[in-house]
Parts: sequence; structure tokens; C-alpha cells
Amino acid sequence: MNRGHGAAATLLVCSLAAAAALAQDAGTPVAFVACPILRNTELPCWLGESGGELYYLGPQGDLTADFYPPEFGHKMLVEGVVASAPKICGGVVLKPVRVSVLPDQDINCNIMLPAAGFADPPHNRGSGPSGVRGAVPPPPPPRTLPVEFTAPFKPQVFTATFNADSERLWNPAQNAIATAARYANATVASRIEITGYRAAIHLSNGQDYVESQALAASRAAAVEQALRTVGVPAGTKLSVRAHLAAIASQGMEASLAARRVTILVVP
Amino acid sequence: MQSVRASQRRRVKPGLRLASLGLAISSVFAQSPDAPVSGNAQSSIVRSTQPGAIGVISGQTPSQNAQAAAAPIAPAATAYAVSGWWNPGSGSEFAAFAEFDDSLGKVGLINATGPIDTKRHPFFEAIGRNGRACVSCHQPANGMSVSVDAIDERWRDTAGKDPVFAAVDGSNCPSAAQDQEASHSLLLKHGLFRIFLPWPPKAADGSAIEPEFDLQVISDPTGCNTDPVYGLHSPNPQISVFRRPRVVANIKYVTSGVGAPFNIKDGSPMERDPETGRFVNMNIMADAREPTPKTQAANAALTHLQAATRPTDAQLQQITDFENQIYVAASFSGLGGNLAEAAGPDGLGPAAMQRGTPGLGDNFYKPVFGYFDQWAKPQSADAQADFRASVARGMEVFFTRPFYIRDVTHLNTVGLGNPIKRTCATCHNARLTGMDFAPGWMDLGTANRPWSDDLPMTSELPLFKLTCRASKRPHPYLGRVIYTHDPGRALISGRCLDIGAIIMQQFRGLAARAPYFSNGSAATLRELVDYYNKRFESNYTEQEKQDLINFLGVL
Repeated sequence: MNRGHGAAATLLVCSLAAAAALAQDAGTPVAFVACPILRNTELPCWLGESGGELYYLGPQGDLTADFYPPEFGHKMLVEGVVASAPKICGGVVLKPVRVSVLPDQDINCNIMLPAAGFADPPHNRGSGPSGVRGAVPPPPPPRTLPVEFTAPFKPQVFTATFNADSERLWNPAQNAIATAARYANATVASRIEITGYRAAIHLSNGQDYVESQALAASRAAAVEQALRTVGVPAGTKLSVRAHLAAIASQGMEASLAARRVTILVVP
Repeated sequence: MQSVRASQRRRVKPGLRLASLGLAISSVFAQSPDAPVSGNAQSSIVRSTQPGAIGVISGQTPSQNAQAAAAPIAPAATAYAVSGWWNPGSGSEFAAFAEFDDSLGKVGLINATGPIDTKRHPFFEAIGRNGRACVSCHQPANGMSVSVDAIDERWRDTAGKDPVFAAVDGSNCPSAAQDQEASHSLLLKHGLFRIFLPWPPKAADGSAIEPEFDLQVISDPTGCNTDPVYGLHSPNPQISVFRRPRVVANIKYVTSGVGAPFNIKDGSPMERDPETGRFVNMNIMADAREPTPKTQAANAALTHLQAATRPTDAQLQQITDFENQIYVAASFSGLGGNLAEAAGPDGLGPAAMQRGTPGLGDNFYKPVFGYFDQWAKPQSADAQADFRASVARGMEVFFTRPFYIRDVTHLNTVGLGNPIKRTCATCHNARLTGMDFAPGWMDLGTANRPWSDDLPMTSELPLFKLTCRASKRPHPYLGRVIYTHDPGRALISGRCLDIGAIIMQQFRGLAARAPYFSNGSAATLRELVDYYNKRFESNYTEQEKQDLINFLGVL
């Protein structure tokens, strides 16, 4: 357990300053594995370094945000696209960006930079409670009604996607599972075929990040368990398979699509 | 599948190694592209591999009941009438409103449906075999929990004969000499009852859950984990941990937030109410091992009360109806005066609990405990006004003073980042209770080393070494080998992610029921604040600490 902060900060800042001129063109895809870096502005911002360039990933936020930050104690896989925007917190802005927290512990991932005069990143929420005192609370977001399924029914595939090297069911996967379960119940499905996959993600440095071999099976198992929990018809047969070979992928969307579980619902 | 494999041939080079990550893909082509994980399994909404309950009994209850049946039972105890202590079977009336003195003033209870006759009421009668009732450990005078001071007094008043000291869990181990004070040391010194749970954990249908870690007893001061009858290697293997009884009041808050099929914190499936089929909030007890108050009551009767059979449906309904109508909060402060006055802060007093509505309170619209503006500035230079101003400052510290929260599983792991610069109210975010509105188990460190080393009493607790198996994910911040005094939720789920994670407790009526934390490791509110200050390097000033203590003391 490393309780210290920012041990490597000074060295890192020097190396980053030297590389500051290496600005990249907007639209350039980026994928790298690195320790996360936190800049201690009043509202912290998250950064990552790759190839001598410091990238801005996003602000500290909450679970309503579209950016979920990385974690000290773990490396992260960053996938993003260089945005046409001024630097934030000293980093080249990636947008869109997706961060996957990698599972193995790494106590060296513990880098906190001083604010160093940088302004807070753009944010919807500060470091305290949400909202503005005295203001009227915003109305709840409109409720999205689930799609109605009507006959004639045919086999349909639903796809749950995952962060890199993870079988955790984040919201997109949960929604896919819930929709598949609704379709299975609407059609009184005869069978459901669940197939898990894993990816080999092409990185900017030319290497591939290959997800662990067991992941295809554990993703499929997680989806199966969730489907059973949400509820499928009692007579439906479930089969679960794992596609053992890693699917090579390049670019944010292709990589996300490769990290998937397909749920084939057969009426 | 063909197109997938074609893509793979284009981009993946067999034998390529990514040395820095320790990963290899050299053998992917040697394997069949698709392999069955499980085939033709008949589906069902009943999850046989998950914790929870089927019918009215949770998966772990039968094995717990078997141990409870094996534990000795003392001869029928005499009902010792002692002021403030509610004897099982006393038949007293439970008033519509009652106040009891506590260490800082008074705690108030509202019985929302009016006075009730407790004679033959299953919450108040000894429905098991050991003379205890629910009320034994959920004393009205202690805000429906029980304080260590009351327990100590009870020992002295009854020479240790009160059924609250029952061998099954009111002693360090049923095999200990029950007439000796030392055999009840954890209860007498820290208010801790023994919680015995099957190992490995049980799924809802009673089958074993394969844990992700191996468990080893490193030290066993009570002797119960190594006991040949009650321990981990007994014919009915059970692990013993020691926990405080929770408040049985304000239940509409504790059970709110139901209906989501997935745990917002880790994406895992939620448990269901076995009666209604609805998803529950998984926020009761220290580890959410029971899905509903009704299954909790059944489990408690079969374990703590050593009942031979499950209470009837009518009894369980009566118990939960009673629990749902009790509201508890501090009602009077020795330094702050009447806490329920109309012109005061609207989150104080038991009536606030009765009229309030559950929800998320980590926002400026409906703050967790409301605003304390009425007390913010002394109206006059007297001691009460000064104290009230301190309480108002304490609320601001609690609600708006940021610090870095770090390495807390089920907080820093939920998508918020590690660390996150936030406030007390980030975790203690539920309206009027200060619990977590989501399933509230987190690893604060009170059970896990290294942080538990800052709590000296933990040396009196068992210490376990948990080793996460190579095929499973390690604990996110403690790695593969974790030393813990209480694995918490992991004793139910079997997951490394859950090791040491314990559901937070509500903040109401604190002065009536010290000590604090699940393991009773903070004897006072000062010790509680000091732990947080050190754990999260909050750097509170002495004034901020005292303001926080005063604030917590009036809730």
C-alpha cells in the first residue's frame, strides 16, 4: 500500500515539457497503456502520457458524466481521438475518449501533479454536492420507453460491450441484457445463445494489447448470470460459448465492438 | 464467425508478446475458435449460484440454525427489571412517543401507529429457546440498537444471566466458560455480537458458492474460528466475525431505492424479494446477506434467538410492521436544547424522520440532513447559541468540505475515479440517514489492514489471511493477499472485490448507542472523526473536528 502522492511528478513534468512541441493533428486516433495522472486543480483533471505527449482525458465528475476516470493503483488503457481544441490542464484534448482500468494492481500508478496554475477543467459538477443552492432542481430526464416487440418474431442478436480486460457490466451492457431479456419474454424464446469474445487492441506504439484468454468465457458467464437474474422464460434453453481467439481491432469503435458478448434470441 | 477469424488473421501475429504487460497471444490459433462454457442449461429466474433467499429462508440460514441449535442454552432467565432495559415478555405498552436519556441529551422514538400492547407481540416476546426477543438487542432506550454502556450495566445487574449474554453469540464462543466475564469480552467492551456464517458461502438454494479466495485464520483470540464444534473445520464449517447490532428504525429510508436489476456500483445482478419478485436495494445488515427485513427477521429468530422453527408468517409480518412504524433520532441536546423545535433545522428530531422522504441527498436541493441556517450565527452570546453555531458549521464540513477519498472499493471503483476529491456526503448521501442510497457496502479500512491497524481494539478480533486465486481478479487496492478482521460482504458473495466491504450505518440517535463502526472500534464520536481524518488525510482543524462531532451528536 503506497500512501504517498506524486513521487514521480517532478521528473514527469520535465519530460513532458520537453515534448510539448509534439502536437498532434486533430482527428488522430490514439490508443495507449499508461499510469493515470491526476492534476490537483481545485476540481481535479485526469491526464495520461504516451510517447512524450501529455493527454487530457477528462475532469473528475459523477456517474451521470460520459467520462469515467481511471484509478490510481492500476494502469489504464486509453482509447481516443485528438480533438481540435486548446490544451486543458496542460494536456492535448482527446475527445471522444474511453478509459479502461486494467485489473492488475500497480502501486507505481500514483502520480499527482500540482495545479501549477492551471485552471479547472470544464465540468458540470465541482468537488462538493451537485446543483446550485436556491435553484430549482432540474426535472428528471425524460424516461425512455422500451421498444415494443410485436410479431412476427425472428431471431435477433443483442450485443453487450465491455471495457478492456473486464467482464464488468456497465450501463450499455446492462441495457443490452435487459432488452434481450424483454425480447426473450415477448417471444417466449425457445433458446438463447450467448457467445463471449475478447480483443487484441492495436496500440499507437505498434503493439497489441491482448485481453486475457479467460475473458471471453467470463464475459459470457457474466451475461448469462445477468440474463437469468433479469428473467427469461422458464422453458428457454441457454447455451454459453466463448470465442477463444482474440479479435484484432484498431480504433475506438472497432475495439469496443470486439470486446463483446452476443446474445442471440431465437423465438 | 468466419469474418471474425479472417479479421484475426489479418491483424494478430501469433507469438507476439507484449512484454511490458506480461501478455501473450502465442497460442490463440491452436485452439478451437468457439468453446462451450455451458450448454443447454435450462433457464430459470431463480439464481442457484447467487446469495439471497428462495421462499422465506436465505441460503445460509439452515446451516446457521444448525450451529445455533448446537450452542448451549442457559436455564430460563429471570426477568430482571432494570430502568431503561426492556425485558422480553414484559408486556409493557410501547408508547406513541418516548424519550430516553443518552450521553449527550435524549433520544426520541415515535411509534407512528400509536401505542401498542407488546404482550404476545413477536418483537417483544421470547419466540426462540434462549429467552431473548428482538428487543433484547434493539432496545428503545438505545435508539433501537444497544449501547456498550447498557450491556455492561446489564451484566452487573444480572450477574451475566440476562439472555442477551446467550452463549450462541453473546459470548466470544459458545464453547467458552459462560459464567466468566472474559468469555463475553467483545460484547462487554465493544458491544459486539458473534456473527457466524457458513464457509464457503451459500447460494439462495443452499448450495455452496465457490469463493474467489482461500481463507486462513492467522489469529483467533476468541478461539471460535478454530473451535472443533463451532469453527471453520467443524462438521458444520462456520466463520465467526463480530459486529454491532444495527438500528431497527427509520426503515423506510434503509429499504428505499428498490427496483434496479443491476448494482450501480459493480454491475452485478441485484437480489430479489422472494415474496414479491421485485429487486431489493441490498442495503440492510452489514453485508446484505438477507434481501428483506422479513427474511432478516426469520434468520435472526433461527440464529440469535435459537428458535427451533421459523416464526409464522403472521409473526414475521407483525415484526416487520412494527419495525416500519418506528422513527428514531436525537430529540434533545444537553448543550443545544430542544432539537425538534418548529423554528429549528428541519432535519432534526424523530418527527423529521417520520415526515421525511427517502432519496439522494448529495445535492444542494435536498441536502442529506437539510440546512442548518437557523443555527448558523448565534442570535445571542450564550452557550447554547455557540453550540448551535458549531453544529451548523459541522454540517457545512460534512456537506461541502472536500478531501481526497482514496482506495475505497465500491466508491473509487464505481466509475468515479481513484482518488476522488469530494466530501463526507459523497458516501453518506442518503436523505436523513447518511447511509449510501445505493447498495452501501464499502471498504473503509476499518476491517482490513493496513488501515485497521489504526484502530487498537482490532487486535482483540480474529485476523484472517485471504488469498485471491490466480484465476480471479485481485482486490483492486490491496492485491492478492489481504489481511482482514472481517471479510464483510465477501463472506456472502465470495468475491475478492468485496473483502472488508461493509454496509454503512445510519447516523440517527448516535449518542444513545456507542460504540461506532461495524466492529465497535470507535468508542466515541471523536475517535470516529479521528479515524476518518487519518484515513483520508482530511487535515481537519481542531475546530472542524469539534464542529463535526457536535453535528453528528444532534442527529
